[in-house]
Amino acid sequence: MRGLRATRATRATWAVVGKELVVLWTSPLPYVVGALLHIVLGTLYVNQLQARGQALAQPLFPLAGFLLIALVPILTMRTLADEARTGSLDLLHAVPVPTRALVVGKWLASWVTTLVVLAPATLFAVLLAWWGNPDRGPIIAGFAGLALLSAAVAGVGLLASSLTSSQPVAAMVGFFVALLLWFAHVGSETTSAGPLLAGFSISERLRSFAGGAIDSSDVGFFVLLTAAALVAAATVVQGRRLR
Amino acid sequence: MSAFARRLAATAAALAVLFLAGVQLERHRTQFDLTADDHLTLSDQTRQVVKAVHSPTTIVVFLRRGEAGRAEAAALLSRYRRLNRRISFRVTDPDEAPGQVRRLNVDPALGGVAIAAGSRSEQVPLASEQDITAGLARLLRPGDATVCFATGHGEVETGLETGEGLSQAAGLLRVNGYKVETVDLLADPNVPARCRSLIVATPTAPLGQAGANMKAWLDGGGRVLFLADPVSTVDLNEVLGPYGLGLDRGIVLEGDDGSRLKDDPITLVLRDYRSASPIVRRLPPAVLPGAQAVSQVDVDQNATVAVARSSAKSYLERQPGQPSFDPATDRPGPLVVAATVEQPRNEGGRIVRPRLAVIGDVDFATNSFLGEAGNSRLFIQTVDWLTLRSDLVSVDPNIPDFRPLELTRSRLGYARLLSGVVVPGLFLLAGALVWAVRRTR
Repeated sequence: MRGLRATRATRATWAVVGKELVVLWTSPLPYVVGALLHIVLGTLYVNQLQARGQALAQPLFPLAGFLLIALVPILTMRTLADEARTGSLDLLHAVPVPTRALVVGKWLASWVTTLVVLAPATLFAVLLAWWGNPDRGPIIAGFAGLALLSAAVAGVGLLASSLTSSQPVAAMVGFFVALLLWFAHVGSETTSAGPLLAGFSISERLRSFAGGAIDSSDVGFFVLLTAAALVAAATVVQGRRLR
Repeated sequence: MSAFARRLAATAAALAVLFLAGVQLERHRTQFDLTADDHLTLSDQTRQVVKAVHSPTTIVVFLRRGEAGRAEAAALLSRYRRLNRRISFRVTDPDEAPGQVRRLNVDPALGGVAIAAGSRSEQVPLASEQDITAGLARLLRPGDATVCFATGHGEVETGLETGEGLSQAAGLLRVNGYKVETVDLLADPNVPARCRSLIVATPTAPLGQAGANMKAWLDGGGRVLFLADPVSTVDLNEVLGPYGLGLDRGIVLEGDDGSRLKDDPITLVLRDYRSASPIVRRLPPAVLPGAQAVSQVDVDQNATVAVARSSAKSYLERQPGQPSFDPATDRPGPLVVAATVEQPRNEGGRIVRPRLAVIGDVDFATNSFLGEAGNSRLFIQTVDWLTLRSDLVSVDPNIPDFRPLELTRSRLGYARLLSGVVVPGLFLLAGALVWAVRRTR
């Protein structure tokens, strides 16, 4: 019985992913976000390469990470907020789609979309390998870090989207929370709670990946942050359903 | 309890579990270093040293806010902490903690790193693995590291508190955790076994049997610092020669205004430290008031290292009474004025590492000049290099390889075109196509 329920939930999740991907990619959002991301990222990173004169991928990752915390909430802003505004969330509640499947499916679609939008940044690694002899370790670790960071920020964005029916508000809340997490380490040296706060800094976690290290605690942090955001979002959605 | 309240409680419990899982992950972390040269992994030597830390030890890095290297220092030190939880660290702005700077004996202008355990502390110039491990090793060094000053042959004395004495140098060594002793090598020409290193400061009488014994002690893994001086006529080459070093008679006269005191060609201002030797790492200019030149012989075989040089405009004047460059007798610069040699060998499974340092001047370490510029650091870093056990300081620099990238104008243009036009253009084109298709339906 439990197995059957799990299969149903998985099917429902993939159905939500498929529907969400279609909705996302038939809207102008991913295209505009992708264009903006690569114009800014390319300009800043090429300037870094020019200034350093070294085949280094490391500067790419903090730049891309910061841009992602600004742009991913734009991709996720409509996921649940728009459903709430149009009333389609109530319709979804009426059909047997488990809340978990709904939330995970929407998050998964947002994450996949973010990864696709980010993918052309790997061209820089190709250029570096073509023109120089970069260390491949930091490139692999850095992109793995970006993938995990975008998963976490997509989770945070989804949570923000579940809290409101206004898309701009959802984007702003998502960005603000991600920004807080990005700068969590700032000033941590001066307070007693500093080390704990610094542990929540996604920029510090990403820095470790960008350097070429894959640390189990950094991977765990992003996975747990994503899970926490999804659990919270599921609770909000379930709360609406129960009301 | 309503369904929603139950749901909220379950969520709170789930979040608490996730938080606790994060704490556990933080405690039991494993790192995979994907870099080609493993520069994010601490060396085996460092691991050995860190393992030997048995009391709470704090490493404080003094770097100003906005100064480069703060994050890198924290990342490096977190690797030390990961190996041994007794090690804690802070990265502090020296301007915000002047009391700490004073207490830990750090130069507020240069910054640096202080490593403290209990009442003892060690200072190192950089937050690099090489320096921090060496500092930890110094801190772990047993308290009986004895530095002996040779006497009996007219050497400059540590008991002398006038300008030409070495009393302040001896005091500096004591502050840095060394025991200081004088050994009369005239009365007993054997170097006592308790001496970790021996300082021979410009003998004015021939060393005789003491010289031969000194050489034998050095051969057996001894550590000797010779502080020479143009005024001494004693031949030290009996000890130095087998190690590929020698002293050239004469005095170095400096012609470059930036490498001497104003209108004083005898007093060198050393700036040229083209060496990776820990003796001169991050060393500010040092003042040598009257130096002899050190000659190097058979450099490859003996692994001699020239640690400091005069400028190309200097020369070695053999007849100081008539100071003018004579190509027939004088030596043109740049001239080596400080050199080291380490000659390790395997003796029945035991590694023996004789170490020898020669500085062509004793005055820089005397009471008159020890406080000048980088003199005290030159002195203490030389003794540190001599005295430390080799396995504790021979940590490789462990810095990433330099990977040059030649960004020609055409490559730059190509990269900009790709990132600024082609990729964003493709996104916008794809978006426009989707929009057009949707509109036609």
